[in-house]
Amino acid sequence: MKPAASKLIVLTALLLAHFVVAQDIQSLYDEAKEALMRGDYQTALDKISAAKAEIVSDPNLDPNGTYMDRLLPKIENTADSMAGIVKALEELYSSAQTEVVFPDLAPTREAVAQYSQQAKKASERLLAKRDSIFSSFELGPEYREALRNTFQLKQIEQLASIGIMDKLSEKFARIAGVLSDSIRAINDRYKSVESRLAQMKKSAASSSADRAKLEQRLAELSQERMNYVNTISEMLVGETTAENQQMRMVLVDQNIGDVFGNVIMSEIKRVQEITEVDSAGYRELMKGFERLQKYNQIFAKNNVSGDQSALLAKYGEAIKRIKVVEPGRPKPFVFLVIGLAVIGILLVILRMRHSSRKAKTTEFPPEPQSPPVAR
Amino acid sequence: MKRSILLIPVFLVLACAATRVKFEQYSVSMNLKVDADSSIIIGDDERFYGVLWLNPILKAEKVSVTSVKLIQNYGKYFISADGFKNVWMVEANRDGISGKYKAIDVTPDDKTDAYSGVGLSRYGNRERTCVRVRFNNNELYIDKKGEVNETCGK
Repeated sequence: MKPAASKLIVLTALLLAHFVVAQDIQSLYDEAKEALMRGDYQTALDKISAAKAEIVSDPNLDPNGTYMDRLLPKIENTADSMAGIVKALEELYSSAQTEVVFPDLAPTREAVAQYSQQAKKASERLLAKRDSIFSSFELGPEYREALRNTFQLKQIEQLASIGIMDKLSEKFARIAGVLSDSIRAINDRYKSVESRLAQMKKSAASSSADRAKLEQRLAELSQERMNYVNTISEMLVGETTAENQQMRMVLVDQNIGDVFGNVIMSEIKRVQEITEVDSAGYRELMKGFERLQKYNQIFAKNNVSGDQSALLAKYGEAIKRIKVVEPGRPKPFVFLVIGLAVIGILLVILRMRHSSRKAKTTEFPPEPQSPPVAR
Repeated sequence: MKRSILLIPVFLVLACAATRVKFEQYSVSMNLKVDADSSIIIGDDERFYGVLWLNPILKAEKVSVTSVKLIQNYGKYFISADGFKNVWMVEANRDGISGKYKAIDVTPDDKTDAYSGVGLSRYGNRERTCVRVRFNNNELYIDKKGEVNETCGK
């Protein structure tokens, strides 16, 4: 290429470059604001820098310094605040990852409760720190809202809602095995007591005190078994994630679904034997039913048990058949007797008053006659 | 006596200066929605500085637009939009309820062209600022009197 031709091309490119590259300050400012509204503070800062560079290269673009002195610094402050918040959120996430550690506890039901409590507190602390980061920077509400879409904030919220519980998955997987063994053992004991009670009911020789004792034992075992089901469901609460897969597999291997089915069936049987209950007892039964419904949802969601809705419907029907009595409420004939008694007493009082008045009238002494006056 | 007469203008100037404040009337470019009655709200729905009815301007342009660009320079408003053939200069009257308007054709040689990619911005220095009009990949400058130039103040 001849040097003259190449010079011409460069000159033309330079002339055109002004139109192609140069952007209105207004456009750059608008784009920076739009980026901030998306939470993209880095793009905003780039646009702000570009606008400033344009103004520095040609001060005529900003005759009154409106952009340089007023508008750009304002959005630059916003972008800096957003950058500060995002950085603080990143640091919080990284520190939370290392700080949230759970101690090793013996695999018991109490351990699950303790772990759950610790996880809840850790999650609350994390969210409180997040809020404190937000409040320590001055930022308009629209930009605060924009930060809700940032990866860093979502990451923190994910850690608070799921991540912390996921950290417990390994410990829960170990506990799940122990709890499954325990619940199976309790289930066996329950069945044994249940069959002894059935035999006792058939036998005429048994005393009512022995029967009551076995019934009491059965109720205790039922409660204990329900507590274990509750603990297992507590471990499964939340999202089903890859991290808690191991725990779910343990529960599946331990046939927790079958155990749960047995629990519901024996509860149905227990409820079917109840003929009447007071309102407080009925409420208690309904509470138990609702709890089982909740466990069913959790187990089915985590695929540790099949959906037991059909069995639960039978359970619900069994509860509905129970007669609810109100021991404290007097029966209607009692009202009638009381009413009649009150009327009777009133009549007696009236009669007595009437007769006493009559007696007074008759017994009134005659007025003494005045002696004749001597004239 | 003569000396004291000579001092009168000085006192007048000082007296006038005492009632003056520094006031620059300009704006950044605004992209404003044209309402069904052809009015635009200068500003936004919550903070606005007046309402301008564009009926005669839109009638003259023979186009229907949903938004216009507006900028204020030395108290005068300059309005244009994609599809317009002019930039319109509007100046408020003292009565506060009307204004006079004038069409500025930045391409007087071409009566048929319609602008596209219209952009308005202020350009210059504090004392001499023009409205820079960008359209069809060109740019021209309108001074405070409404005259079109290829440069601002040169």
